[in-house]
Amino acid sequence: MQDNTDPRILLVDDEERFRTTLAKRLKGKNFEVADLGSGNEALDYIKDNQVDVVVLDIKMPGMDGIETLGEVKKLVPGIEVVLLTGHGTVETAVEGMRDGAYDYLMKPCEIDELVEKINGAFAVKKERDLRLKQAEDRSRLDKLEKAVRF
Amino acid sequence: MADHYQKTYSWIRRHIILVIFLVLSIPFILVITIVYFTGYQYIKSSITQQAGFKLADAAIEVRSELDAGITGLCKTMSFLSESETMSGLQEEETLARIFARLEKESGDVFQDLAVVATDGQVLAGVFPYGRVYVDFSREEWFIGSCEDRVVVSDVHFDSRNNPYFIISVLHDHCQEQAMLRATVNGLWLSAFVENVRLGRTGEAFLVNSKGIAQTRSRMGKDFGEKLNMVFLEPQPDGTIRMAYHEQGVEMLAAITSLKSNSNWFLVVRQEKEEAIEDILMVRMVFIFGVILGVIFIMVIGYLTSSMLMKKIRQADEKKCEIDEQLIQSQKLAAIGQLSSGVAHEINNPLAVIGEEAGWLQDLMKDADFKDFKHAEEFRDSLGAIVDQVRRCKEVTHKLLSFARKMDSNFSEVNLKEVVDEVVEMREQDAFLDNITIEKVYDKKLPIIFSEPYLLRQLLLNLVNNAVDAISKGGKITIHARMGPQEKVLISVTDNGFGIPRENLNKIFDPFFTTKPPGKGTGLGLSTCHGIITKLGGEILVDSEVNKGSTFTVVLPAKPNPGNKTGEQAAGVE
Ligand SMILES: [Mg+2]
Repeated sequence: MQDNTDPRILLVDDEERFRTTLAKRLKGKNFEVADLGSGNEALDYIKDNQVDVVVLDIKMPGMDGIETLGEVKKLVPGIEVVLLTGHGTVETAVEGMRDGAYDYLMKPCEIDELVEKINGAFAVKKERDLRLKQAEDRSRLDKLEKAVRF
Repeated sequence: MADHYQKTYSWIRRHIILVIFLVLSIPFILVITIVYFTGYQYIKSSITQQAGFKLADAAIEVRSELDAGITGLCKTMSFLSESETMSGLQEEETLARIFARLEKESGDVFQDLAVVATDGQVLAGVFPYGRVYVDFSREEWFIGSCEDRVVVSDVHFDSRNNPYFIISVLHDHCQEQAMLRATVNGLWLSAFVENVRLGRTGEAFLVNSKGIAQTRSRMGKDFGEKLNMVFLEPQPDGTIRMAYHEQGVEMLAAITSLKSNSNWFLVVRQEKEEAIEDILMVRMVFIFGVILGVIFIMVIGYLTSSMLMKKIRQADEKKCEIDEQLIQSQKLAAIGQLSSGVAHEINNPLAVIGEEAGWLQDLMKDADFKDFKHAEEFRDSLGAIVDQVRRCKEVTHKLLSFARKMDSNFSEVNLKEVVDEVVEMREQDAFLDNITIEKVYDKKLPIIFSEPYLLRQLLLNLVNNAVDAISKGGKITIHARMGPQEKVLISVTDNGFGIPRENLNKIFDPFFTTKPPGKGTGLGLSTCHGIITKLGGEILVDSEVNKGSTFTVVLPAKPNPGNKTGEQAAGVE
């Protein structure tokens, strides 16, 4: 179903210029990109929109990256998150990964690295979605089988 | 290190020496004074007393000899006069016979003999010396003879200046009275005392109650010499012991009166200095004690002050060292805070610049720009911007990792493995620069308790530094060994260009580098310092220009309960 669609990315960073430019560049690399300036906006966004990978800045005013990550995972467990640490706290990033983030990157980051991580995250999500779909199919089939036997 | 304290040190030293001298000298002087005025003086007076006894003993001995001699003469005369009648005595022949017998019994002692009537007239006489007497009634001895039976006169001189004295014995026979008078040679009397020897200065002589010498003496007194003597009350043994000055010399004397002639006094005397020469030994011991005491005080003073000074100096040096370390870590903490703040603030704009440049690069790849005449220039410029952003990024990341609170996960570490790993990482590059890395391990290298990741980073930084210090061709030696007090020492030695003395205390400062711009951030060694503080150890540098440097890491082998010391240097989040 989703196999041939472009990955849908949500870019969350309080630094507007960074966010918008990066969004433009990612679009150029065949991603479907939305960009938002805060964690709250991001949460609202994912309630209404399909998102595959969230690229999330850790250091943000208001709700920070780690908090946002938790909320995102609570709302839509299937979404993969790549963290951006503007500030070299490896521990925070590692903590984030324990909370379910796919990986982290240090800002300023190379675009190729970011693309690589996004693709990796997307692949994980795709694979999980696929297994989910197969499981769903199997359970539907089981139900059908049971119904036929009766 | 503490050269500027030199003035203070000599001040302290002077005061310590002064105090020690005072503290030791005051009781010493007190003791010396007490010993001098009690012990020494007591010994001196008892020695003086002993010397006085000795003189008195000698005096008594000589006196008894003298008494015996004189009494002997008197007895002989009495015996002879008793055995004759008065008329017989008046005969010259009888007298001559008696004289001859006297001469025979007493030797050359008697010089003449006379019989004198109670009115002083000479009745008969033997005068071999040619003295002729007629009337004795005025003479002293004669006046005495009227009262006593036996009289011994003072010493007189005859016309030839020969000393003599007179013994007169009263002849009392049937109401008839006359005196037998004999002249005795003064030299005979003198012989008793002249030969008395007492040490070097001791002598004996006779003196009469008027202070006129009756004999010669060994030390040069002569008959008839007037002596300036004062007689004191006699002691129970009949002697007078006294000390007096004669011609400025202190004398010790024992004086006793003769029994045979109470008018004569025997003086036995000696110079006091000689008499009490035993005191010299005591005095020498005393002086020796004083000198020894003074030397002892000086030595103790010197040693104590030296020891104290050494301790003070060590304490000061230790304090300086600790101060320096404290300043160093405070400096690093402050710089860490500042640099992490700056790095963070710069990081975001840097990211924006990077993205903008990247976006432009993306756009340049579009076909629309194929005909753009400056396309190549644009690409070049953008490439440069991206490169420089990357360079900045490296700096900020290093800064942040320098300031970052380092994750500590202490565990057992095999030092050999860590060193091997680090050397392996750099061996290839080093080989290309013709640098050999030698590893030396002690046989008994313990498994230490430390943080393996930080330790690896620390050693890697040091090896990198060593490689950088050698331009082309050289040798790096890594020596891991057990040190004293449960410490492990790892030294990294290179034979590179060394560190000038003036830079030695700056090498751990962040951003201090001698490399050309863009080649080094100057954070390597300050990171090392941060790590080593974290690990609870220390790092030592020894370097000589053009000979090379040795960085020695001293690490505790056992877990250290207080290894949180590195926190303040670790910066803020
Ligand atoms: Mg931010």
